[in-house]
Amino acid sequence: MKFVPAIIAVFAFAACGNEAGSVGGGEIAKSLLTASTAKLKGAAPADLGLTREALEQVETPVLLATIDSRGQQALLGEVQQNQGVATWSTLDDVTVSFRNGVIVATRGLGNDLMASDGLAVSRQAGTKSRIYTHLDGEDKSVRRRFSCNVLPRGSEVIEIVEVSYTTLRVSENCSADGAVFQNDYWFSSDQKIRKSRQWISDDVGYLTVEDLRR
Amino acid sequence: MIKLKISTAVVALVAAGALATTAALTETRPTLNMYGATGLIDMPSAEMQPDGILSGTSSHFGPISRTTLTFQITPRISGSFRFQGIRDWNKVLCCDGVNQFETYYDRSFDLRYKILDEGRYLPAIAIGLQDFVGTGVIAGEYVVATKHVTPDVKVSAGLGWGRLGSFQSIGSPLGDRPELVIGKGGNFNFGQWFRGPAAPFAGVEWQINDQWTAKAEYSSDAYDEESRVRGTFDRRSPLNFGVEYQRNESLRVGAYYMSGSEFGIAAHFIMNPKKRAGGGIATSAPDPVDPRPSRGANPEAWSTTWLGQPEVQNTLRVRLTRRLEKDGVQVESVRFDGSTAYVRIRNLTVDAEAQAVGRTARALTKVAPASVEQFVIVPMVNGMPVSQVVLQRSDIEALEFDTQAGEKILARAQILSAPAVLNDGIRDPEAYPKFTWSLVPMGRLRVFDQNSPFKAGAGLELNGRYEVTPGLILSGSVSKFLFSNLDDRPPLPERGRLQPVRSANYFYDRDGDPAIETLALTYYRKLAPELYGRMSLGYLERMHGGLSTEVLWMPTARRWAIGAEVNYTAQRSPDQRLGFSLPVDMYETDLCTPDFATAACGARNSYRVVTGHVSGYYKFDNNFHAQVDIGRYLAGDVGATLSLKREFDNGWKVGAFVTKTNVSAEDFGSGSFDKGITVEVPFASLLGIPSTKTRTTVLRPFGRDGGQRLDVDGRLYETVRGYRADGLTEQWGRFWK
Repeated sequence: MKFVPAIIAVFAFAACGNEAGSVGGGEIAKSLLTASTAKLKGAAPADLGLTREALEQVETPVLLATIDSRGQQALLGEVQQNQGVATWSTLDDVTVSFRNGVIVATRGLGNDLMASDGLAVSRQAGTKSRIYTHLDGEDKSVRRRFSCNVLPRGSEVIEIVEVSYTTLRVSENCSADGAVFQNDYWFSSDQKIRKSRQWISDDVGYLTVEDLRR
Repeated sequence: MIKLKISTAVVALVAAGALATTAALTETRPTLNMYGATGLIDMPSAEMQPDGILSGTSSHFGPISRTTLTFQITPRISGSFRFQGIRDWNKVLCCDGVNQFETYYDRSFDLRYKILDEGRYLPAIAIGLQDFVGTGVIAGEYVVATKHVTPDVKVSAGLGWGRLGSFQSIGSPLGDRPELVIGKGGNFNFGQWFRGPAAPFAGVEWQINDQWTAKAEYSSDAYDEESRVRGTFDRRSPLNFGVEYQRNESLRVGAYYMSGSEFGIAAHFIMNPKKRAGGGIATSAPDPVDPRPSRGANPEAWSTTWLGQPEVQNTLRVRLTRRLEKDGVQVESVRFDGSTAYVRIRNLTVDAEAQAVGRTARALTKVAPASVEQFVIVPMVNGMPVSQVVLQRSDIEALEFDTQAGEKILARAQILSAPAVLNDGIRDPEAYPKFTWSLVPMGRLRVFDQNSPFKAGAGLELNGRYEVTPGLILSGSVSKFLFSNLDDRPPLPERGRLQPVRSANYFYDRDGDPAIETLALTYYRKLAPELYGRMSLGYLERMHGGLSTEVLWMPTARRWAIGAEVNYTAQRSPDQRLGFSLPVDMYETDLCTPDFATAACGARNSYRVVTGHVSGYYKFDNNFHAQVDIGRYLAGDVGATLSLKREFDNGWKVGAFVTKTNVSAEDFGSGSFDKGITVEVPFASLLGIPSTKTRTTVLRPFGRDGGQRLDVDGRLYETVRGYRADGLTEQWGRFWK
């Protein structure tokens, strides 16, 4: 058994080369270790140092997105429009696509939301259904229809980088086959979604999106 | 007396379950026992693991250690391969034949079949064969039933034969058990199954909460040989007790009090090939689809005057190449023809070809002029075009955010056989020649020799690959151990009359440090739309070198393929440098001193052989894959290999193979014929990052010389099959990712 530490030492050595996608034993060992110590711990959101003054310098619309479970934050700019869907991208190539403020797809997050019907959010109480498509571990599409209870929560004041907005909060409690999530939307007086917290997938969890335009 | 009490208790519990007004449904986790099978502590239950689960179990109590690999082959069938060691084997009986070993090692295979699922009133019922092939040291058969009596408590009871009928038997209901004729092992012991004394066993399992489980059982295994005959431990009681702790989805540990005298521990490692680490492959986002402006709004964008200008086509190629670089897709050539763009690509890093095709289509929406309506994308492998995916640009534009985008684009796409032309359109002058290299850690295991179950070496491997032109590849790898105990001499059993084409592996491990593992020139060529060819020349594998030629006929839109291979090879020197002369000591066995002059032990200073196979491949629609190879093997023996695999769409493959040749069991040695288990793991699935690499592990209970094929890299079928329509669509969900 004296060889075991030696072998681990060798495999901790990272692979190198110019071969694209070359994978070393070090990465394998690391992934097995993290797999057996369960989920990665979420860190506190990194402070992006956003100030209203800095934002004034930005001429294009900017969104701030936060992955709640991972504490990761990034700014997004709009890069493409296709059939009423706007795709926004971070600098490091994560994209989030919206139809009327509702997330219809993400890419670059791992277990992405492949597609969703993205029906508009109603501000009246009632029920509606939402369809979500994800990929399973064998890359098969899994399309689920969630039944959602729409619940207006009344007026709430939220602050986004030094600016306060009076908003109407609407919750959607959705469920299908044991999967449950709650999306929240905050509408500002111009009837636009100023902030939202929307479910992406089992592994990613929720994405909070704040509109930094004044 | 104890037996009576337990039986009464079990009957009472079962009765309580049957009479319970609220049905207790299967709500507990199916757990594994010390044999690595689904069950209690030493006894099996009638449950199965979820479909596809691959588990590794290491268990130890008293002098007995077991290492088991179990695979849930289908929802109802599971199989195990086990390596067991019993210490103090010659404590009482000494010292020759089987008694020469202080620790007795044995390999065994099990199969289990679930006949009936648990219902509201009926229990689950399973039937099983333990150690059903080979020396049968731990052979036993059983029928067992399991029923939940509350949502957290389940009770199992069964009847065992063989080892499982050795304590307090109720007689021999199905006749006497004939004496086992072992010979060289490796035979199916049909005559013994369910014969001889039978004895009941039972147990109860209580899942206290999600993490903790308590187990108790009454064992029908008397451990006659280990306890009474050899005194390796003292079996005082048929009762075993245990507690188990589920650390997470992939690790479970247990502690036990066995046989009224011994403590035991077990650890179970559970892998689900259907799930990925982290849930999904983390890749950077693709280009969003860029829709064309309408012809009315921007007539200029729809102009086709550029078609006549070759320099424009080349500029478009360069732009496409740049755009796809970050996606791990290399553009080999581009051709525009009227309203169609033909693009040949090579996927460098993505584990799913569909994703490489999808990203190329997205990039084309950004790059191609508006008048280009059709994309023909050809993924290339080793310079060979296999299939072409024909897509309509308007479909890509329309379906980007459709919740059924995958199914719809597949229905509208055409996947056809690609023409066999070598070059197509404007090539990237920088694509060839292409040199890649890598320095990676490498490990080598030698398992199952009679002294020690596990020997290992670890070191570094330097790989180089030089692609001169499409399809012509010079590749090689050199390895050096940094740590190794592979040069500890194992027992070298008698070999019969065969050339040691594989069984001299100890000498290759000992002398080949550093070793030229491979150094070969390979040429691939698509010969006709459904016909592929390969020729390899050089040091093809660590033990053999020479010439290997192969053709494969793989019809499009079929589930089968047929191939043929002819090789002329010589055995390499164990030092694995450039020579083919064989040293006399590699013929050594424990009972024979080799000599070239007298040809003692079959010694000769070189060995050349012509081998060849005709191979048939068939992919069943339930993800099982069969392969039959008929031909001549490295030791000059003639026969056939049957391989059966369960393949997961994400690249995991778990299978078994058997080879029967005209070598007699005596000449073959232990095990009688070649057989084993293969597990292929895609790195992408393990790591959650994109990679086209996989690692294949072959486990053979006995590494002998009969039925061995040349281990040449890059055989055609595995190279191209992922690019045929059925291969491309396996991970089709990734088209849009």
